[in-house]
Amino acid sequence: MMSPTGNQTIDFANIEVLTKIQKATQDANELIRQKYLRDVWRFEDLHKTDEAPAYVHRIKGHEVKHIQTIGENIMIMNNKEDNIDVFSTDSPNVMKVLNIQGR
Amino acid sequence: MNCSVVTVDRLFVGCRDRRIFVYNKFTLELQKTIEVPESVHCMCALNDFTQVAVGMTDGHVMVLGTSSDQLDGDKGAQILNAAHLRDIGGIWSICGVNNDSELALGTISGVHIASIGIRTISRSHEHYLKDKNIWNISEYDDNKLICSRWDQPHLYLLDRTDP
Repeated sequence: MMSPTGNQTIDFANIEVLTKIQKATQDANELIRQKYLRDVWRFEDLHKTDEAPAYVHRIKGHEVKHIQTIGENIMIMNNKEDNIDVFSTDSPNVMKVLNIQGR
Repeated sequence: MNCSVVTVDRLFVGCRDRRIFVYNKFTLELQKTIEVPESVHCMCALNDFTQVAVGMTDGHVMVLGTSSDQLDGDKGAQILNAAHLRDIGGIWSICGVNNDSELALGTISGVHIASIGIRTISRSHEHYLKDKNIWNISEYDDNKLICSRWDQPHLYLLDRTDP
């Protein structure tokens, strides 16, 4: 359909046209989504080799099998007796030991 | 301990010797010890950190949480759903998918999908990376999973809608 100025206009009352617009919109959305996923799916090495990690518990000679944080301030880790040491994240001192019977 | 997970109010610790210890998250007071059929290898939080899915040796899987018929004195969690998915082998990693209505299981035999029912957990026909030893798995996006294998230093993106 042509407008009075000679430009082509879209007939929004036409179901076929609307269906094509809908399909084109879906395709465009999918393209944007795939582009987004491609951008997300890109890894960057954030480790700076000349800098130590900001927060470190230096517990030398200890095999760390599992750690977990509870909120922002508490960290738990297995100890040598296979029980659980509880630390504050800003201190290497053990606050509490959870006895899980060496399991 | 092999694994742990933190929910809104509890700390769950999964152990190799068939125990799950449940602590109050704020006081770290022991609330409950749950005996399970096999060694606990992995856990994940479900439903806005109110429930916990547990993967064990030999395909044992369960969901823990609180239920309406729980006794007043029982401050810990109960087993809400449980299943023994015999053929899938040891479950090394677990995550909730599809709004936590299903579980993705990273196992010694590949990636399996199981749906969470009223009391049970049922394995679906979906099986990815067959016979590969899956070490880690996580939901990446709708119908997309990301996983790693024990024997190769790669990450794999799985699309469940891709035939």
